[in-house]
Amino acid sequence: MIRRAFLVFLILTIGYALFVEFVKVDRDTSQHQASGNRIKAEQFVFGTDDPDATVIVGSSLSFRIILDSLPAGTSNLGFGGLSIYDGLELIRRSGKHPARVLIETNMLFKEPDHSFLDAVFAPGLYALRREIPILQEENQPTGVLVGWLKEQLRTVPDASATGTDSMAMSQTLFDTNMASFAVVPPDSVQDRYLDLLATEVAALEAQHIEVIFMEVPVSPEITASPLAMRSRAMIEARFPDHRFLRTDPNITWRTADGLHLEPHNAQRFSSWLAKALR
Amino acid sequence: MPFKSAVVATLAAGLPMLFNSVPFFLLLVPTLLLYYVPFMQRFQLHVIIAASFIFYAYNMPWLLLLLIVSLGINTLASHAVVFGRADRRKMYATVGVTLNLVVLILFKYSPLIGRSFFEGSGIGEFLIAIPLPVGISFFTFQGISLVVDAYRGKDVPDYASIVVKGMWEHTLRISTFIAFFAQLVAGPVVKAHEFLPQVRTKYFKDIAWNSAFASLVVGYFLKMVVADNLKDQTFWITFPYFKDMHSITLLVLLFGYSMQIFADFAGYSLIAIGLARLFGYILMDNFDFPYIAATFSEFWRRWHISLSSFLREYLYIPLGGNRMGGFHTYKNLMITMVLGGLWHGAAWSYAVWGFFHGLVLALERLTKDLGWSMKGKVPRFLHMLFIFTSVTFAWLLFKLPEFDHVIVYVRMLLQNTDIPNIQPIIIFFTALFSVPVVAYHLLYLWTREPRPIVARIKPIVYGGMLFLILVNSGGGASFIYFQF
Repeated sequence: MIRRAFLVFLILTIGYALFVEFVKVDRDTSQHQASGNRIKAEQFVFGTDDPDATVIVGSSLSFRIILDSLPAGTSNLGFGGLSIYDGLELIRRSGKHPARVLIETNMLFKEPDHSFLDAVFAPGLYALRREIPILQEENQPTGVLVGWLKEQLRTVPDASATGTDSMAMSQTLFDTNMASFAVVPPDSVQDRYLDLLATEVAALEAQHIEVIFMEVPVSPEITASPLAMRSRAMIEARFPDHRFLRTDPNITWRTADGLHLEPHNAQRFSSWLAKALR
Repeated sequence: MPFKSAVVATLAAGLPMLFNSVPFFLLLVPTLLLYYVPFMQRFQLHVIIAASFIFYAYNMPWLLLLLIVSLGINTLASHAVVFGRADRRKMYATVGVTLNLVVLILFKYSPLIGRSFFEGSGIGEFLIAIPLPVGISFFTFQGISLVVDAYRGKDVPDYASIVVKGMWEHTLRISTFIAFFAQLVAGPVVKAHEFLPQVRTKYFKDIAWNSAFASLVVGYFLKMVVADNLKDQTFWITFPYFKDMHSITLLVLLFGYSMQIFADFAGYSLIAIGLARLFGYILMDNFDFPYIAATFSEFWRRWHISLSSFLREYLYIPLGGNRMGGFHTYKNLMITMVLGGLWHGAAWSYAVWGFFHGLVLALERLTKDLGWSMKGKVPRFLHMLFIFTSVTFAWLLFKLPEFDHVIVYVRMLLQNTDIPNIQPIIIFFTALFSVPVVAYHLLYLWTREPRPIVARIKPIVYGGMLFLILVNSGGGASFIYFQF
C-alpha cells in the first residue's frame, strides 16, 4: 500500500508541476489575508533584484495601494495584520537592493511578527520553494482554483483584503480603531520603535537606497487623533532631512472603518502617489 | 530586564518543536536510526529520553527543569508506594498525587486565581505573571496515573511492570513513559498501565509500517491541510470583526471551527500514534469519529478518548460514579465535567463549557433513568445532527474565551440576516476545507459494511493526501491543544 501511495503521489506531483509550468495563467490566487501576505513576500524574495525598483513597506493600510497606477517594477510590501518592521526586515533578509523604499508612517508602534518572516525564510524550505514553484504559496491548488473562479464570476471581492474591504463603513471597527488611536504609548515605547526604525533606515541608506516616508490618508477623525499626530511629529523630528509624502489635509478620503481606504479611494491615492513619486 | 521578568518572558514565548517543522524531522531521523542500531539496543530508553528532552527544551531550555522536577516527583513517589514501608504506602501516594496537583495548579491556574480573587494586589500580579508551560496538563495527569496505578496494586493489569525494583531502571522507564516526545505536549494522555508493560527491547523488523504510515499521513493531512487552512478563515470569529458579518457567514465559520478543532487535535493525536508506532509503542486511539455520535455520552466515548477515560477512571469512579444512583450520579457527572472543562484552560469559560457538557450528560442520564428514551422514535441522523449542533455551539466557548463575546456572536447570528456582507470567499474556503472532515466521518459510516473497493482506492487516497500536504498546507501554526 505504501509503495502504491507514493507512486500516486509522484504522478500527481509531476502532473501538477507540469500544469504550473505550462498551463497556469497568472491570477490573484490569494485565499485570505495571511496567504496574500505570503504570496507578496515570496514574489519579492524570489523575484529578480531590480536596482531601479521602488518598494512600499507598510501595514494593511498600504496593502490597498494599487500597483497598476505606479511605475513598473514597484513592489508593495504592505502586509495586512503586520507592521512596517516586517517589510523592512524582509528587504534586509532578501538581500535585495531597490532604488528607493517608501515607508508608511501610520502604524509605527506595531510589533514585528517574527513568525511570518521565519516561515518565509524557514531553513531548507526557503531554498526548496525558490527552486520548486509548486511549493510556493501562489501555486497552491485551492488558490489556483479560486483564482479561476474569481475570474469567471468577476463580482467576487478580493479574499486577501482585510475583511472590511467589501463591507459598508463599519461603525464597530471605526470605534475600535478610534479607541486604539486615542492612546499614545509611553515615551520609552515610542523611543524603542523609533530606534528600531532608525536602525533599519540607516541600514538601507548604507546601501545607497533612498528612503521616503509616506502617510496613507485615513478618516479625518483618525488623522486628528493623538496617536496619528504624535507619530507624524516624531517622524519629522527624528528624520528631518527625509522626504515625507502626505496628501492635502483638506481632501476627505472615504474609508471602510476609519483606517482602510475604500477601493475607489485606494485607486485615487495610488494615482496621487504615482504623481508624487515622479 | 529584571531576572523574574526575563524568565517569565522566556517561558511565555517558548514552544516545543512542532511535529510539522524541519527541526523536528532533523531530530526524528537520527533518533530513529540510533534507536534501532543493534549496538544501541541496551540504550533505547536513553535515546528516547534524550530526544524528548531536546524536543521539549528546543525553544526554551528553562522548561526542562520543570519536566525533570515532575519526573523526579513521580519516579520517587511511585517507587516509594511499591517498595517503601507498607504502613506508609497511602501517604506516599497522597503526597505524589498532591505534588502533581500543586505543580498543575501553580503553573496553570495561578493567573486565573490572581485575576479572579487578587486583581490589583501584589499577590495578584505575581500569580498572573506565572507562565503556562506547554504540555503541563498532560504530563501531570500521566504522573497522577502512575502514582495511582502503583498504589492500586494487584487490581491494575500488568502491575509488576509498572514499578520495577532497580531505581535507575525505574527512572528510565518512568522518564520514557512521561517524557516520550510523541505524546509529551498534547497527548494522548497515556496511562501507566497501558504504556509501561510495553517497555522492552524493540526491533526494526517489528515496526508496523502500514499502520504507522496511515496514522502519519492522515494526521499530517488533517493538521496541515485541513486545520491550518481553516484557521485562516475562522480567524474572523474574533471580536469585534464578526459583528459585521452575515448570519450565514457566521454559521459557516462556526461549523468550520468545529471541523478545525477536530482536524487539529485528531491530526495531532494521529501523528503522535504514528510516531509512537515507529518506536514500537502502541498509544490508544484518541478519536473515534466523534461527530457521528447520537448521544452526548457517545460523543465523550469518541472525543479525546484518552482524557475521557482518564477522568472516568481517576475521578468519576473514585467519586462514586453511578454506584449510588440518582442525584449522586448526576452530581458526579457535573463535577467530573466541570473539572474536565477547567483542565482545558485556566478561564471560567472552560468551566462553563464543562458545566454545559456535565448538564447535558446528567439530563441524558435522567431521561434514561425515567425511561424517556427517544431511541427508535427519531431517526439516528436527527440525533446526530442535534448532538453535532450542540457540541459545535459549545466550541464557541473555546474560540471566544470572553463569555460576553460568545453572547454577542450568538446575537449576531440571529440578527445579521439581512446585512449585505455574505463574504462568499470565506464561505467557499471554509466549506472546501471542511469537506475532508465530513468525508472522513461519512466514509467511516459507509465502510462499516465490508466494501472491497476501499482497499483498491486506499493508495490513491493516501497518495492524494501526501500530494496536498506537499502543495496545499496552510500557514504553520501551533496546535490548538498546546495551550491546554
